[in-house]
Amino acid sequence: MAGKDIDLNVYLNAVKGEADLVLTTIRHKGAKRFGKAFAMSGLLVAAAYFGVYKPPQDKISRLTEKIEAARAMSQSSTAYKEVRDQLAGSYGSLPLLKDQQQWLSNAMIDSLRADNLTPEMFRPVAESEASGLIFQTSSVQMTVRFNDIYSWLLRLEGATPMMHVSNLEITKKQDMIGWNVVSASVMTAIPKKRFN
Amino acid sequence: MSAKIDQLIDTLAFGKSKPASGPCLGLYLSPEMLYIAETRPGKGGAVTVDHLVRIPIPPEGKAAAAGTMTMSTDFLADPVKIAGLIRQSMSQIRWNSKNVVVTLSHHLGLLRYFPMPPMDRRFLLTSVPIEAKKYIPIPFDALAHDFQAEAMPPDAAGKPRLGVLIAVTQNKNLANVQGLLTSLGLNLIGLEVAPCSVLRLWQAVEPAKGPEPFVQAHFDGGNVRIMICDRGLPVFFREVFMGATASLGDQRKVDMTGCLSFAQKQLGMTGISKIKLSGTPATLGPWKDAFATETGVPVEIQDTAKLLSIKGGDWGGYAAIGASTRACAPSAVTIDLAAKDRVGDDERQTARDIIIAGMAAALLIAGVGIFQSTTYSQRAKVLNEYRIEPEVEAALQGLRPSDIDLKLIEMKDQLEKLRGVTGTERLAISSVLRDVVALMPENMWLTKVTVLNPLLSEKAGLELSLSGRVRGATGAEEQDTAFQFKEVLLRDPNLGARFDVQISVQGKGAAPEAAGGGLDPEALARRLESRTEFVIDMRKRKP
Repeated sequence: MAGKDIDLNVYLNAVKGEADLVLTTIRHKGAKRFGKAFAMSGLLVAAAYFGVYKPPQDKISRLTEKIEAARAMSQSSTAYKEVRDQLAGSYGSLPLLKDQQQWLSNAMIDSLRADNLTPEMFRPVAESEASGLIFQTSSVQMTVRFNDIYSWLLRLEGATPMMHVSNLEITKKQDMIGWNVVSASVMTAIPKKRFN
Repeated sequence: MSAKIDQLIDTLAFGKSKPASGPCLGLYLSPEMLYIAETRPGKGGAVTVDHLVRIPIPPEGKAAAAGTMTMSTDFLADPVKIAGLIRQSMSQIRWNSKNVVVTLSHHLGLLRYFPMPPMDRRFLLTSVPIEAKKYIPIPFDALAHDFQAEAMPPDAAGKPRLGVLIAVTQNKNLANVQGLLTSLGLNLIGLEVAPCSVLRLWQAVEPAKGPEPFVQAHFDGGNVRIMICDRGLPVFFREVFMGATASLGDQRKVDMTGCLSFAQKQLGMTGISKIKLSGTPATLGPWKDAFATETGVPVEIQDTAKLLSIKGGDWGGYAAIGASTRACAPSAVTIDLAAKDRVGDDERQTARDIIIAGMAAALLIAGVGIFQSTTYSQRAKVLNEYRIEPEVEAALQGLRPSDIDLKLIEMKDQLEKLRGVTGTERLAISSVLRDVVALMPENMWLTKVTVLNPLLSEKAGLELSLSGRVRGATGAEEQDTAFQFKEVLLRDPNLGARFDVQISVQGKGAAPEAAGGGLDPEALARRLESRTEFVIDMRKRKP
């Protein structure tokens, strides 16, 4: 069955003719003459854009964002929970940011008191910051028996939040049998931001 | 339909207001007689004449106009005088409109129809006046004109042609008519020539039954007007003035055959269906037979006055009535000499194209918008495919996908850092010291313990340096004990698996029995205690 051929050139020539007419007339008469026609066309386009096109576009745009967010949430859900739980575990063993000022020194004093130890020297807390963590160090020096040191170490290492013994030097005191001079540095770390 | 679209485009794009569609007066201006008519649409498209007033011009006015019978300007030179005549007549009747269509007699305006080569419509505005000079021997600078152009039958050689209907009047007449109506408090909504008005009336009272061209011959006493109408346009118009009456003896002057021959040869017109006769009833009968015999074309009499339900009328009166029907009776003739800032066909077409382009763009945009609206619910279903736990949703609510990824990266980064601080692999110093002390033999003791235990496990691990002494029977035995202790440490499941252990031993060299000569027992004991010293370095292995 032979189909009826459509000569596109006829239509193209017609469109070209109309375009020529429009351009020639506008050039000859000036665009101002057709201001109302242009304004009306613009109005129609604007009405179609703002009245019909834009509202669903905005709605769809918001929906697309929601879908993307839901997809991202769905894909990241397992990883998020895993990381969040692990972070929660880590946060549990670290002091809060609000306790930054006094916690370490107070905890040190409390631990010494708990073991009836009296320091000969207690240095103020030193602080440094790296990778979003605040590192605090407290140093102490005292003369004690080994059992007391051991007991104190057990207390520090079992403490929550964490009190980390970073340096320890136990020197046997020559002139006092059974006594030792102990120098210790205790550290802790405080996250500046917690992802709860 | 096309005319309505053109009108709409004119209104929208060029601010041309639609002609008044309500009651409208028709004013026929002639140096001999004035007519004012008011009509309204009747039942079934008929025309109902409410008023028709005939205003004779006083003899002095006629004398002034009689000098130039064609395209005179003298008659309207004194609008105040004419206005006085009109006002006097109008004051006796109540008129329902102030809108007036003025129609001009042959003294004041001309109508011509001529062929010209086809051309693009945008060139017509300049080409038509040039071509019209062949048919109107008056300088166009002094004339106001209006025309309309339509395709007409091809010439003898088969070449296509454009038929142009043009009306002209003196520019002065235009200004005078405007002044006349202003002084009367009337609004000019159209200005045309009488043949156009009368044709409109004839088409209104007795519409053509078919598309075939026809001839209308109108007799007003001795004044004969012959009009050939084709496609609704007066393509031929001839006026013959023969005194008081037109008898059959004047048939050659009327020359109906010549008129038809001209139309056939010059305008390519064929198939004239009939000749209609109108005008003074008493004279029509003989002319009917005469024309039928002369031309062989069917002839019929049209009693225009009867069709209008008026007592009688003449050319001027019918022209006034036809002018007053301009707003309500359809007509192919659109000529209006009073139209200022006329919109050309090319301009109208351009405006139409611009509006159509705007509409097309608007439709396209709206179409896309509507399509998107219809697909919204489909897309919304996708949202339900993602199951998210409420706690996760609450934590990540309001975040964009990129923000969610960023947050997860930050959390993982912090977790990595915290693992270095709170990692489970960390060894307790207390347990290491406890194990070391538990494994030490009786005759061995520590004098110094140094522990380095960095908080961040990514740096070096736990390191212990244990300094101590050994007591034995001989120096060799003491050193052997120290070395054995190292082996004990390495074999221990807790320590050996986790630490590299190195030992250095330093012996003072003297045998106890030799060294003891000459020393008191306390000094000897102290010396023997320090005879063998060792340092054990324990370094945590990296996993």
